[in-house]
Amino acid sequence: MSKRAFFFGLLVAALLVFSLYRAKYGAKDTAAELMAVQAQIEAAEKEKALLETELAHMSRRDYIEEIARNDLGMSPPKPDQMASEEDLDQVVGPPVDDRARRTAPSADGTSRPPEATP
Amino acid sequence: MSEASRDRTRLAGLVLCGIFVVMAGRGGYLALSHGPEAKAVQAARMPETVRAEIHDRDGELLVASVRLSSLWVNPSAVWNPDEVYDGLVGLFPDLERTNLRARLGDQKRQFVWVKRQLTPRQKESVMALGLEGLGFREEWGRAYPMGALAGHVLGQTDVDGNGIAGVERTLNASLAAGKAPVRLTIDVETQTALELELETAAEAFSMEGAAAILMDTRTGEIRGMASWPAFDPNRASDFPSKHPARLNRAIGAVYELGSVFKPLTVAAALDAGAVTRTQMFDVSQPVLAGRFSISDTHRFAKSANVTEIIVESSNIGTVHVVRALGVKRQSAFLDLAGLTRRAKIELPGSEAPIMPARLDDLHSATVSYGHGMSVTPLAFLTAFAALGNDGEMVQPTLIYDPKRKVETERLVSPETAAQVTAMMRESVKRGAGRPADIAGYRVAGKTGTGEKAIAGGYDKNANVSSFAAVFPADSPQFALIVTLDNPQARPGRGATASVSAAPVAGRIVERVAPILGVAPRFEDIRTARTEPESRSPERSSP
Repeated sequence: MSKRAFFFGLLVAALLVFSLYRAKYGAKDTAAELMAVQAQIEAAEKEKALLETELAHMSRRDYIEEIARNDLGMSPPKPDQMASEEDLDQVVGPPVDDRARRTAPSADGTSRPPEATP
Repeated sequence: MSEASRDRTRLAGLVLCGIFVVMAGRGGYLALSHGPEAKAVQAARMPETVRAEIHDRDGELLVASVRLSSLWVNPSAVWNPDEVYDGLVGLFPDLERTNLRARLGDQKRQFVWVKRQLTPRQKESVMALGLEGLGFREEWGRAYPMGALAGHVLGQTDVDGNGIAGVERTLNASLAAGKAPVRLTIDVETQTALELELETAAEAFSMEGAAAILMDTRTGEIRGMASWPAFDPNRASDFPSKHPARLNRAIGAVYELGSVFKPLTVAAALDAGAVTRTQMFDVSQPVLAGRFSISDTHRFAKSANVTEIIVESSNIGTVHVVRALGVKRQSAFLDLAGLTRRAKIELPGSEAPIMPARLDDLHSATVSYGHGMSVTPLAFLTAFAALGNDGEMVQPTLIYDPKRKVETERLVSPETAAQVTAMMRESVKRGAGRPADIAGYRVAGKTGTGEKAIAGGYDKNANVSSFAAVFPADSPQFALIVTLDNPQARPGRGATASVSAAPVAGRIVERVAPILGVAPRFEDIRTARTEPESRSPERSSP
């Protein structure tokens, strides 16, 4: 074997050693980075849980109702404030034919044709 | 190649082989072994088991796990134990003082818990003291963000995170496993309405306690379960073990519920064919049972059918009905209705009923109208709700599971259930239940007022007032019971269920019906709006 081959082998070995240690420290750096990200995720999750808990606390219905009653004068709806679709006629009267209303003569005696619909 | 060159080549080959062997060995070691950093990564990736949250049926947060700080002290690092002791006791007056003082003075100790699970504000106060030797350790704790809402249902955990009451206890294993949030059948809106109305009633009637349960008659899902006085698990340490607020009266207290039992008695007799709907009973004279005479609070007719017996809440009529039924069939009915056993529910502390030792003629008569037998509001409602579910009973539940197969047990026929519901609707339209007649929502219910049972007899000055109902009467979906323990009479009015429990139930229905998707019927509202004077004045009858 020539000297050249010998040194080439040594160079390859040295490169391999270097690569191995580089990979090792790279893995270490990645692990540290991973841990930092993991810690950030955990902190964010804790903060999210805390915020959700605070949100639930602020959403207490008795608390909201107190504000609605005292500050806004609101109260739970009474049955006579609700109506189903079929009851609407009795609540607000029969529907008005809008088309007929628009073609009906106005106060000045003129009439306006219905607008074209697409 | 000379011999020397060959030796050099062999040597170089050996060196290279050695290097490769070392490199391979080291590489293999690194690949297979877990260095400290690898372990740290593994630990970081390993999620901590956090006790699962509890939500309501719509996903609203009821119980959360939060990081809390616990305070400890290192006595060996404390120079002036008295100063530390005074500071801590000043901040936390509830600390166990004798032990703390002794431990603080023990210089050999290096760790003593002072107080677990501090709030952020308490932690700030401790830090502001600037005392030596103190430290904080972060722990998971439970927070109940809705405060006292559903406190009795949710229960609580101890400082080590073990469930010791409510669903926290019943579902401890699955909650501790940290799986997906547990969803309950209650909804925040309905639960709030029940609790606010009980709170209002408590102010109006200065009562000892109260309970209200609203249940889906078809699935058995409990949409709300309230007990007054309220219990806030966040402040559990404020309530000693015997404090009245710790008792969940919906499942943990038994009451003689009075006339709310009458519809069940009539249903049993109708279903057995012992009586008919049109059959007339003499209600003009008191009836004798054993050595006691049973009478009505008011005379209303000489004879009455079962509808009038329910509407007028006639004890005499109900005794006639139960005598036609017979003790044996009555006993079998009570057993089938589950009233002779503890009600099953996913909560600890369901109380057993108190039954007469023997169902003789006297006890058969009194039980028929709800006296001489004590049951929990939940046990009663489970049986009563069958009238709103075509006569079939369903097991009540607090755990929301859309895939749950609803198991039913027939109590009475659909025809009987419909007939008795119609009778109860009449009771609300023109009987003692009128204050619960909320226009549009077709409430069918029955009032019940019973003298309060005490050791050795009854307290004539204390009663238990109840109102049980199903709604809407034409197609019942929900069953409700309101029980008030010893409401005090208000000036000019009594404290019977007609003026106490029934109005509370009416207000609850008015609030929760829209939330539950029960649409008001407009014809009823119009009638109520145009004919208010057609209603007769309220009466104080049971």
